Amino acid sequence: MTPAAGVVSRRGARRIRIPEPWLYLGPALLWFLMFSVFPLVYTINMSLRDWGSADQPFVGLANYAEMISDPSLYQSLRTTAIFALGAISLSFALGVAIALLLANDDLVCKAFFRSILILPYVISDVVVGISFRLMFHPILGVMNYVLGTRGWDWFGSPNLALTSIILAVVWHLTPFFTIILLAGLLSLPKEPYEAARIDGAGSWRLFRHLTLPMMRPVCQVVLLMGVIDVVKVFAIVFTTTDGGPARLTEVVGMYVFRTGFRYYRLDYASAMALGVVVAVAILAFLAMRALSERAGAALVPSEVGRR
Amino acid sequence: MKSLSGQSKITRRRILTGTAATAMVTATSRPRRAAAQSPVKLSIIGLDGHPSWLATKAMIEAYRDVAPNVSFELSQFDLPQIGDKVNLDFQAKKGQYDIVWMNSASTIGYWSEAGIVVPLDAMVSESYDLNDFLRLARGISTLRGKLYGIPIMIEGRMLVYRKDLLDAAGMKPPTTVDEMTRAAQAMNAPAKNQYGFSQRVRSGGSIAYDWVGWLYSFGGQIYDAKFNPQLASPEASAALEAFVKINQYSAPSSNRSYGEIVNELQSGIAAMANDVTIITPLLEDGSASRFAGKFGYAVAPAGPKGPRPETSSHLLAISTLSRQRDAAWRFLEWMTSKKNNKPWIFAGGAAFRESMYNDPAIVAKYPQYTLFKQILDLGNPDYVPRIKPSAEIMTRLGEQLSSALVGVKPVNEALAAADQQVASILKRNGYRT
Repeated sequence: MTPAAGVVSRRGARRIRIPEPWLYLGPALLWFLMFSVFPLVYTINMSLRDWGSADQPFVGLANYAEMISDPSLYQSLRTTAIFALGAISLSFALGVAIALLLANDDLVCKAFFRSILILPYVISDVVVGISFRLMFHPILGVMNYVLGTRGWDWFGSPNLALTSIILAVVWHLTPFFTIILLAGLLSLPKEPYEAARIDGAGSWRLFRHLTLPMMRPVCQVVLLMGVIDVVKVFAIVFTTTDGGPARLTEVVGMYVFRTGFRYYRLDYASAMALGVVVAVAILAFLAMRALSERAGAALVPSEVGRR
Repeated sequence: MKSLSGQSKITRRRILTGTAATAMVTATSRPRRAAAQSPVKLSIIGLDGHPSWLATKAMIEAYRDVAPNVSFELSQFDLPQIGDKVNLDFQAKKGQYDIVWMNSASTIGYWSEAGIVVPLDAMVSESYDLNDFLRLARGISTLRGKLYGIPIMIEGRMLVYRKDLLDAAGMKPPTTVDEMTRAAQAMNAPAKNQYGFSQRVRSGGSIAYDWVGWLYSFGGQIYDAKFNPQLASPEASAALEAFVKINQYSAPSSNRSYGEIVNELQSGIAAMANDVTIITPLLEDGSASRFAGKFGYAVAPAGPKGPRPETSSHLLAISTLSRQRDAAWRFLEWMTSKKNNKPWIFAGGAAFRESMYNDPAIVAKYPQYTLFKQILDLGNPDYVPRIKPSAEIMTRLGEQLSSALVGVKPVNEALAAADQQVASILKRNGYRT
C-alpha cells in the first residue's frame, strides 16, 4: 500500500484515508499531546484564572503582574542563581578532573572506577537529601565526628546551609558530568595529540589547546543539562532544610511548590512556573549562542594557525 | 504539622482492642434490614497510620453489620497529600471523596471558605448531643457559627521533662516560662551531649506553630478582631526574646521539628520539651525510648498572661461534591455518637466528649486523661488563624521567627517584617483594605 493509499469498501464508498506515516507517528504523538501539550495548556489556563474561587474566573495577566512585585520570588531567584553557580561550577570542575583521571591509559581498575562512579547519580534525590541530613546532623552525624567540627549545624546555620545543600547536589551531579565528559574525552582523535607531543607540547598545553577546544561541544551539552537539573532542584532542599533557615535556601522550585501546594495558590504558582521556564529557556538559548559563537571564532583557520 | 504516623504501630494489642470494639458495637447496635435499602458506597480519605484513623477503620467494620447496604472505599495518605488530593479533587470538580480528613490548624479555614466542605448543622440529630463535646472540641469544629467537622483527634501542648535530671538539679517541675528557662539552664550539659531544652525551630510553619503558644501566653496575638496585624507589639517582642533565650540551652540545630524532638528526648539529648500531648506513647515505648518511665508531664508553663497551650485537632468533614451527604453523615453521626464512645476509644480513637473523660472505665485504662483534660480545657480554638491564607501566614511568620533565632535579623526587625507580610497577605485575600 502506498503511504497515502486509502481503503475502498466493497460497496465502493471510500473510507476515511489515514496516511501511513500518521499510523507510525500516532502513538508517540498521542503520548506527547497527553503528557506534554495538555499539561502545558492546562497550566497556562490555570495561570490566567483565579483558580481558588469556586467559579474560577478569567483574570487575564493578573498573576503574571503579581510576579513583578513579589520580593519573595526575586529572593528565591537570587538564591537559585547562587546555588546554580556554586553547584555547577564545582560539579563541572570535579567532573573534568575525574574524567581526565579515568581517561588516563595508565590508571589501573578503570572499569571498576567507571562502574561505581555512576552510583551517586542513580540514587534518588530524596534519599540523597535524607542521607546528607543524617550525615550532617550536628550531634549524631558522622561528618562532624570525622572533621572534628563538634556541633556544627550544617543545614541549620545561615552561613552553612546553602553550602551544605550545594555539597549534596555536587555529590549527586558530579558523576553525571564525569560520564558525559569521559565519553567525550574517549572519542577525541589521538593524532593531534601525537603531533603536538612531537612538537614538544606538555600536558597543560595539550589540555589547554587541544582537549578544551575539542571538548567544547560536549561541555556545552553538559553545562546546559546541568543548569536545567539544578534550576529544577527541589527534593534535596525539601528534605534537608525545607527552605530555611529564614528562607536562605528557598530556591525557586521550593517557592513555587509552597505557593501551589501549601498556600493553595495554584494559579499564581502556575504563572511563576511558566515564567521561570521561559526565563531559563531564554537564558540557556543566549548562553548557548554565545558559547557557539566563541567556539566558531576559536576554530577559524587564522586562530588555529596562530597556535 | 508533622505527620503523626510514627506513633501508630499496629500491635497485637491494637488489633485485639479493635476487634473487641467491633464486637462491642455490633452487640449493642440494632441491625437494619439491608434488602429495603439501596447500596451506597462511601469514599473516605484519612491520615495514614493515625490512631484515630485506625479506630475509624475498626468502626467501619462494625458499621457493616449496622448498615449492610453501605460499603466503603478508603484512601490513606500523609497530611500534606490529603490536602493536595482534596484540593485538586475540588478544583477538578470530580467529587472523589465523601468524607475527608481535615486539619483544624491548616485547612479548616481554607476548606470552609472555599466551599470544599459543607456545614453539618442541618444534618445533626437532637440525640447526637453536641453539648457533650469538650468546649475546645466544639470550638475547633465550629467556624463562623457553623459546624464543619467532627473532631476525631484533639491535642494540646504539654511540658515533658526528665524527672531524674530535674531531681538531680534540685528543681521542681517548672510552672512558668522563667522557671522553665532556669530549669533548662540547670540541666544543660553540652559536654555530655545533654541539652536542657528542645523546641521546634525549623523555618516556616513548624517554628511558627510552636512560638504562637508563647505569643498568647505573653498576651500577644497575630492580628486583632479587625484583621490588623499585632506582631510588632511589645508582647510579641517579649515572647520572641524568651523563645530565643531558652533556645541557647538546646542542641545545636536550627532545623528541628516534631520528629527530631521525639528523637532527642528518646535518646537523652534533650532533658525537657514543650510539645504535644500525643508524644507520650512514643516516649514511654521502651523499645524506642532509652528513658521510658523517667519522664514527667505537666501543663505547659505560663507566660505573664497564664498558660496558653497549643491546640490542634483533626476532623472528619463531608465534601461539598459528595453525592451521598446524608449517608456520609449517618455514618459519621453513628461512629462519633455518645453511645459508641467507648468502642471508639478502645479502638484507639481520641477522646473529644466530656462524658468520655468522666467514664470510670476509660479513666482507669488511660490515667493520663486527667492531665490531658486539664490542658485541653485551657486551649484556644483559634490557636492558629482559621482563615483561607492560614498556611501562608504561618509560613511567612515562621520564616521571620527563624531569621531572629539564627541571628540574621534582630527580634524587633524580624517581627516588624512579619507584621508587614501578614498585613499584605490579609489585604490580598480581602480581609482588610
